[in-house]
Amino acid sequence: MIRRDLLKFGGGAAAGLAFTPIPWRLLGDTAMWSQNWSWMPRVPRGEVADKDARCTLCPAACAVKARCAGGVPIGLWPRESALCPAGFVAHHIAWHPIRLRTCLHRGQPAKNEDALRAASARLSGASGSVAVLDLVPGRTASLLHRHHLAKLGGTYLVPPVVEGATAAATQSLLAQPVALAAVLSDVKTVLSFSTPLLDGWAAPGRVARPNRQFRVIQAEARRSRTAGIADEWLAIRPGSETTLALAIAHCLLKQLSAPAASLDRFAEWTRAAEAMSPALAAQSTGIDPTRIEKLAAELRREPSLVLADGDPVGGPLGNELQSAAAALNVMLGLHGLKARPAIPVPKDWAGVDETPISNAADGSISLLIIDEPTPGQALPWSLIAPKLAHDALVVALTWNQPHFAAQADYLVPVPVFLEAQQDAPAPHDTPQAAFSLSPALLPAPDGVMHASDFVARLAGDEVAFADRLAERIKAIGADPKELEAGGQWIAPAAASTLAARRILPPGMTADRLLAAAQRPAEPLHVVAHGWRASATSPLLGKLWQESALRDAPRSASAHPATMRNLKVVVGRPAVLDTPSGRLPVNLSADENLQEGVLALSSGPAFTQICQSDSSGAWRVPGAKVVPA
Amino acid sequence: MTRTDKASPAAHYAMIIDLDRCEGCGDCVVACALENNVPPPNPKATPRTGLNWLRVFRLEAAGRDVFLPMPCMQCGEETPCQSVCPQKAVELDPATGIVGQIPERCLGCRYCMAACPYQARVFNWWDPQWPAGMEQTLNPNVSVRQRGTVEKCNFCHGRWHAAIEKAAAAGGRGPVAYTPACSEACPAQAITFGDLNNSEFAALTNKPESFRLLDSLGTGPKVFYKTASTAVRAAVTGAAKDTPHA
Amino acid sequence: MHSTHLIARGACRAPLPRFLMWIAPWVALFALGAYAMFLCLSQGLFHTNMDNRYAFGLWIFLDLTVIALGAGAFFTGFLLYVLHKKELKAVINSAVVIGLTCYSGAMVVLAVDVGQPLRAWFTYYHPNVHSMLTEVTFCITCYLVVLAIEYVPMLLKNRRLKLVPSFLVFEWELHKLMVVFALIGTLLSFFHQGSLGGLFGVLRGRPFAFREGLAIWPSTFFLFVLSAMAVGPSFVALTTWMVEKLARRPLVKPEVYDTLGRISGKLLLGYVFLKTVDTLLWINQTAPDRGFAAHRFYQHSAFGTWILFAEIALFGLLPAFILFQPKLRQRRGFLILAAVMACAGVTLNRFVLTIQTMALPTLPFDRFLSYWPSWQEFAAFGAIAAYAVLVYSFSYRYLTLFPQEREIALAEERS
Repeated sequence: MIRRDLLKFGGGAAAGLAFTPIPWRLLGDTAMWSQNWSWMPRVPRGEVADKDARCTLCPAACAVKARCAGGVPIGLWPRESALCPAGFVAHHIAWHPIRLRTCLHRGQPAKNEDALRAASARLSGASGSVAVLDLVPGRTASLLHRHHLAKLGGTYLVPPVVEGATAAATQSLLAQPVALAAVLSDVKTVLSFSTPLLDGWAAPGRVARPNRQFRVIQAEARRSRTAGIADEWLAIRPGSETTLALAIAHCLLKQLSAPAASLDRFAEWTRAAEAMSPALAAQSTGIDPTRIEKLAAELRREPSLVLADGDPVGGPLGNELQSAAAALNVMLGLHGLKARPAIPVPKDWAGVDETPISNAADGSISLLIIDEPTPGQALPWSLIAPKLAHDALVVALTWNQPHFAAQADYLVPVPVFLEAQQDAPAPHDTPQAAFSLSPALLPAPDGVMHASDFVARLAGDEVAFADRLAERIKAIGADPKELEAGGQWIAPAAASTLAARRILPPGMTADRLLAAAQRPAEPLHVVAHGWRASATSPLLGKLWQESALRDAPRSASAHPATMRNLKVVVGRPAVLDTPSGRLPVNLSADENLQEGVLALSSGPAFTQICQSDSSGAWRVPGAKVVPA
Repeated sequence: MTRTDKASPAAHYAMIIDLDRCEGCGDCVVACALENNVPPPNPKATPRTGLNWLRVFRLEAAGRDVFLPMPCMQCGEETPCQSVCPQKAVELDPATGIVGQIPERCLGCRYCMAACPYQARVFNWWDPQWPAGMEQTLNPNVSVRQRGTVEKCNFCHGRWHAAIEKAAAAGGRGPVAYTPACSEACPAQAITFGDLNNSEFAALTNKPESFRLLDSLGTGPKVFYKTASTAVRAAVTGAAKDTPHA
Repeated sequence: MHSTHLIARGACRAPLPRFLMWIAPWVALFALGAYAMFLCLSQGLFHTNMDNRYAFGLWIFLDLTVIALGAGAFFTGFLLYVLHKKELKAVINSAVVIGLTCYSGAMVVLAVDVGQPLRAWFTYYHPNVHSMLTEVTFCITCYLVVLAIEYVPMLLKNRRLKLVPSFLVFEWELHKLMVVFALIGTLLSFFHQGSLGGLFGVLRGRPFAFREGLAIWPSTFFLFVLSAMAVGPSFVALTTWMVEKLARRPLVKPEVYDTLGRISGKLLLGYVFLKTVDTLLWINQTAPDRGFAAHRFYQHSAFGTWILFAEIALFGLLPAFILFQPKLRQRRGFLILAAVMACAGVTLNRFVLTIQTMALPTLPFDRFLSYWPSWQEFAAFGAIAAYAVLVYSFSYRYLTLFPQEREIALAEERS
């Protein structure tokens, strides 16, 4: 009977439960809980409002609307013109997982004061000198570095120019000392040698399809994003850019106008160009001789510009090619290049001159301060290392943890984009000398220090960067409020007409040009490239990780036949093995690549394995791909 | 989510994407993710498991790279995903013509994904995660979706909602004009957004160079493409076989 | 209480240690699968190799297969209680256990397979009556209840449970109602087998799967019902034969096999005929109407036209022919071979409709993609297989699954 009673009770209780609120409440709670997990991020509250601003992550300084919720930027949207994909999420850099937030001494937490003390101690030491390596020259902070270094008796070092290299090379041939910038709107054709013209080189608004009034001919070994959307892609063999440039010069010589022939060093140039007939060039470039002749005629017929700047991650293409491109620009009448006026500097800011890092004396630097304010151009450590004294102290003032973690004694965090007012360097794709400012919309975390303030403290200068920036704005004569609100101060246009004095810079000989043109390709020729903005936000992984719109960092591709020769398989882990180090890569097959070429998309990791060759180009000699 | 605004006569939002202008920069993809609080990729995510409401395919045609941005097509006739959802988590809003997804009701059965001929729908295979602090930068107008639910493009419904509220506050009624994130972001102005009830806009979709993908399935997609190149059109509609890369 | 007291009177079962040795590996497999399911439920479905393209993977394919094979339960019930095929009483209990394990296992896998199982009840709360999945959910959950009710009398007839008098009364009352449950079960099964077919047949965006139909149901609705009915008896015959082999004793009389084979053969023949008609209609009308030439579906090396041949001719027509011929099906080897082939045919059909549909690109510039399940997917399914084996093993050991067993044993003793 007891068993039966129990069963009855159990059955009755189960039936009765349905009439209590318990199961229904449970259902409701399940529904609520299944819709609101406690670990789900909550969206912020607050009024959404747009604030006009400028993005200063690259020289383009695009006009943006910073959409803010409760004062915090939630996105940047184009104003007036266009943005690159990184522009939309540039505000994410403050929260990027690789962002440096505290001072590190060889991986251990330290204080900025420790770094300052160590640097001061090194300054008061006897041997060597102090140098500041500015990875983004041309900013107000750069001027201040030079000013402070004058007091410290130090050297102001700059990395090799990549973007703007052709303009700089052409500028060295001119009669007058002006700064040149490209002006794409003035030309009908641009011949670009392996330069990401349509993919980061120029401001997006200036090269977007509807605004692009010029033809793009891309001479590149790889079907890069620019090559894929260019009007014509000349799939040259890797490293044969100089050959093609000389062959074009060869064709242009035949129908040369008189003034060019009167230039200094013209005979030297002629000697190099005449030696490179289109038929000869065809052998090493893989481009049909008649196409080369036609190309020369096309460039001649209409205003044209030749660009050989290179890739911001892959590095410059070498002095010979830059000189050849500059010479071609002179032969073609210097179309598409204009003088860019200088932006005023306060009178008492006199400073030391720029020194290209390659010109610094080996072993001369006992204190190196690296200023890396934004994600940007890569610089091989192999270019820096020889310049350091054997016990040199390296302080990297940087926004991120990994780039200099292995080499720097101290990593000092700096305020990132939108955490402090920053100005952008002058753009290389317009002769408009514009001064743009990004606003401080976010509070800078405790412990960040502006790079300029660090160097100023060493020089005994207590004026903060923000005040110095105000001084500069005053000297320029711009309205600070207008700049803060996304305005731009533009220098009055320079009215100079350009005239070339010589066709080759001093020291550039026909033999050097021909040697560069005939340099054999490596058995496995590594063509490196990267998108400098890739480190701006983790959300950008949408473009390469969750889709195939861009090449993922640390990915490499080769022709299927090359893969077979290397005995590597797509999808299996592989390592790029070089005399300078090993780099793990994800391999993919690309039918568009020529055999023997490895297209490497690597970001800053590339700088750990590449070497600067005698021409200044970054190469990876003796590379192999082996299964990991 | 999507509710009919009885006060306003219906709109019929649609999109025209100009394939001759698109150069595959990816602005639309990033802007879309930013606007709609789509999380950054999980470290293990791939193009096949990724959360992209708008995917851009790359094809080769007419000697160049052709890019094909593909948002949800907002099918208006026998909407394939709507009819299959067992618990009404997919709704076709008659007031806008937008196919809305209600993430709070989604079971995560993925039947709608199997049903979609455009593969416009994506699944949250992982818990959505943002780097510490970055959740401050989320869009307040769009809710965050959970792991195990399906999501997709809704023509920036959050923006539509904000526009309707703004119009209502100003005493306005009827369909509102607004711009989805991808259209605002495009540097080439390749994405035109409008209302098919607007005759001027509708005329653009009726031009001979305009077409829709998989039109023959009869699902009435409201995303139109246009190109003046027959080679590009052939590559996209399958009249010729080209090599895909997406 | 010693466990042998639980075993039916007169039934000869293995000693307990041997039984434990038999179930041990299945318990291990079950534990592994349970761990895999825990991973999926607690962390997310990234543990599977499914993706946005293969939104449905191994589990849906196997769920559909298992439910088709489990159809033996409803159809045998229908034949026995409604059409009074008395000889099938010998296998009805076994069929019900198979059905119960197949259906409950499929439900568990489905719960793991959806992203938000806690919201599963929303289907009852916000049902979309136009969705085939709603129909499936309603019918399967209801039918599972029916199966459980059909299982209860078997359970109550256990030697020890019988000792409770009220249980006996309850069992007797239930038994009288069994014809009602058989009818309800048949109706529910008919609908969910059909709506599982409809699941893919209605996908107008997937021209490979899409079929025109009658009323609101696409042709796959009816083909699924028919194929499940055809293969159900074959699977019952196959499992009975397997249990006989494992137990090393006859459990049913030969005419039971013959009846199962005959019914299966006839229905299979009908199914193959209708499937052929449907395929021809699809090739010549349905697919071209939606802008797809049918040959395009078979351009991908893995899924050539061989699959169509294998599904219809090799694993459809051939077993139907064997089962249709009295002389052939009376030879046990042929009958079992044909049953295996029939089951393979239906499995292949479910594979084609699920996996191949997912694999084929609809967009002209899209690629054919392959998919291989992760260990978690295999393990989760392994757990269900293990669960089925365990439930069946326990049922076989402690309940009376084959009423003829004792009779045959006595007859053998006498002879």
